[in-house]
Amino acid sequence: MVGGSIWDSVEKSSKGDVSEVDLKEVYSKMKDIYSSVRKEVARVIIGQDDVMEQVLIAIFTENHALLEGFPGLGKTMIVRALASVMDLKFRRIQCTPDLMPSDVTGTYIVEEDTAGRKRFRFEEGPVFTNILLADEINRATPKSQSSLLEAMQERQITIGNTTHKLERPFFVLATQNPIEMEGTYPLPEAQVDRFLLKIKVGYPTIEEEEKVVELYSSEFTPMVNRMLTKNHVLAVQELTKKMPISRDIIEYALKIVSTTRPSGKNTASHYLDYGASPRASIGIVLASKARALINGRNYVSKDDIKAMSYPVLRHRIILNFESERKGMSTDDVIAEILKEV
Amino acid sequence: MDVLDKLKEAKIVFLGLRAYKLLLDFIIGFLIVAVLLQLLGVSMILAVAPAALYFIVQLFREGRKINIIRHLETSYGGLRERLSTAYDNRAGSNLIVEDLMNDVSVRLEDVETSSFVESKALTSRTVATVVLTFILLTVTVLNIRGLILGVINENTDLSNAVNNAKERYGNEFQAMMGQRWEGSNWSAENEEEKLGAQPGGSRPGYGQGPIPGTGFGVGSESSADIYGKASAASIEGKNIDFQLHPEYGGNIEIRESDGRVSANDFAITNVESADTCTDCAVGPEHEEIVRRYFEKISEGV
Repeated sequence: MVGGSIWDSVEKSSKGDVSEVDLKEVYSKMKDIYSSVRKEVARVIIGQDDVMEQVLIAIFTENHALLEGFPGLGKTMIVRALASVMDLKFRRIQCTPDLMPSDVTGTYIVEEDTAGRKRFRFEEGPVFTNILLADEINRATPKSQSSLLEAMQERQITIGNTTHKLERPFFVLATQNPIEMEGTYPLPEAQVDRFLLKIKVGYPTIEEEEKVVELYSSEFTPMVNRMLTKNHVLAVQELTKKMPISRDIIEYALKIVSTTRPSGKNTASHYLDYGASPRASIGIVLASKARALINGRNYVSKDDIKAMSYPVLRHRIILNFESERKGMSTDDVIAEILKEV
Repeated sequence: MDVLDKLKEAKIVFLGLRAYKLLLDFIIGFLIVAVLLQLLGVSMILAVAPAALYFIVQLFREGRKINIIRHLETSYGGLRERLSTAYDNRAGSNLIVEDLMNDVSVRLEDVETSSFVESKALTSRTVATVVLTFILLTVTVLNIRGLILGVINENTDLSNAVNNAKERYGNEFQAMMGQRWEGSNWSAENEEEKLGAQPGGSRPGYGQGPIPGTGFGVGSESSADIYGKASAASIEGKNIDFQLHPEYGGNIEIRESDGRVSANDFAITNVESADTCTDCAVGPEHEEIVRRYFEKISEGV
């Protein structure tokens, strides 16, 4: 393990639950943990710093993230690399129109025991994992998409009369392609709202792309090492919830979210049909806490709120005709709202 | 010492300085009002009331504004957002909050009392206090009020004297001021030389000659034209020559500009008609000419 020096003492207790000792140690080394994870992932992913940060924030807040970007930008690679670094169980579903809900959740199969008696046994689907990568989620039918709903929200699935709890940590990292709309089923608002963050994966810079070309056109196959155990991730998730935040900062986050709701003559009334729900307020505060934590701070700042407003709000606001006519994106509208607040 | 204790300590210092500032405000308020009262000749003790009122109002206003946390966060960049977070989470007890408290506590050690001093505001107030004290002393010692009142009284007396003269002497005063008036041509010297004097003077008695009883129509130059020679009147600033002919009848009345009648009615009862008028009757030598004149006129029509 590359990061062995960081985790010597924590590893000893990593088989048990997260203890206060673990939390202290994890907290004291938080900045190192984050930078070592970033360094390790950087061995296979060049650039995409913001994307990496936001995916980690989604993981550390025990939430789901939707990655949107053009094909070939490394969305799947990022999720794979992170799963490898964290030593978490990782499963992938390639979403297609013929994907069935049982392909996601699992199903009962009939099996014969040694005595020759037949009985039903539940065969777990790919959802029983820690990190579930739902690749090109908008290609799955609404029925299959909705099979993820309960898993994402309740962290359990119900098949027949039986409810199965999912293992912690559990998060869904889904990807979607914004240009190929033919043969796709755009995610319903209810489902999109379950993703804490919508992360936009953009093109790399020329320098970054040059490195990518060098890396993936050589005989060397980049690999990542495990940096975090499941307990580390749970400890960070625990710490995220403990991150203190001032009342002023909470009010600032609430003001941002409430300003997305069209009323009177505010920015939202010019550009938006619908604003964000209270879930967005929770999301911004939570994501800001995680951001403060991974940056080694013991308080949440306004900058955290501002930075997290984009990925938290961009899939929760619905543009109106006026903003589409002007060619404004959701990020442009969010920028306007931040100016207004 | 924890964060709350340090905040309390800082707040006491901060409040002390604010109180000093308010005290200066009170003194300034007192001095301003005292100077005004001194000039009005009212007891300076009364200046305490408005100054105290201002002090109380300011105390409430300042009391609401005082936010030691915001002040510290503004003055010390290192405490920005940390201090308010620590204060808001003072009841919490987890390892991050404890770490934050320790962090803030250490940073609060760097806070200096001098950072609370609003040097500009205090300096300006102190200077204002000194200047106003000097003004109050000057006003009190030099009896500025007495000097000002003296000047005002002098001006008032002069003004009153002029007004009294106007009221008392009326027309004479106007004549003195050079207004055009029939009587303005009068002079006692000329009048004295005349036997019986000329009628038409506006001041009876002034025209008495050197021989008692010979004035005003008694002498050889007496005339029935008591209205005098043709003169000029000024109507709306325009001088108009006019001559009075009471023999044509009608009432003549002379009024002052304020409507007061300054002369009796000149009612003429002896009105001459065309029949009795010898000047206007056409003589027989002219009758032919008049007849032809009217014939010419009628032919022309």
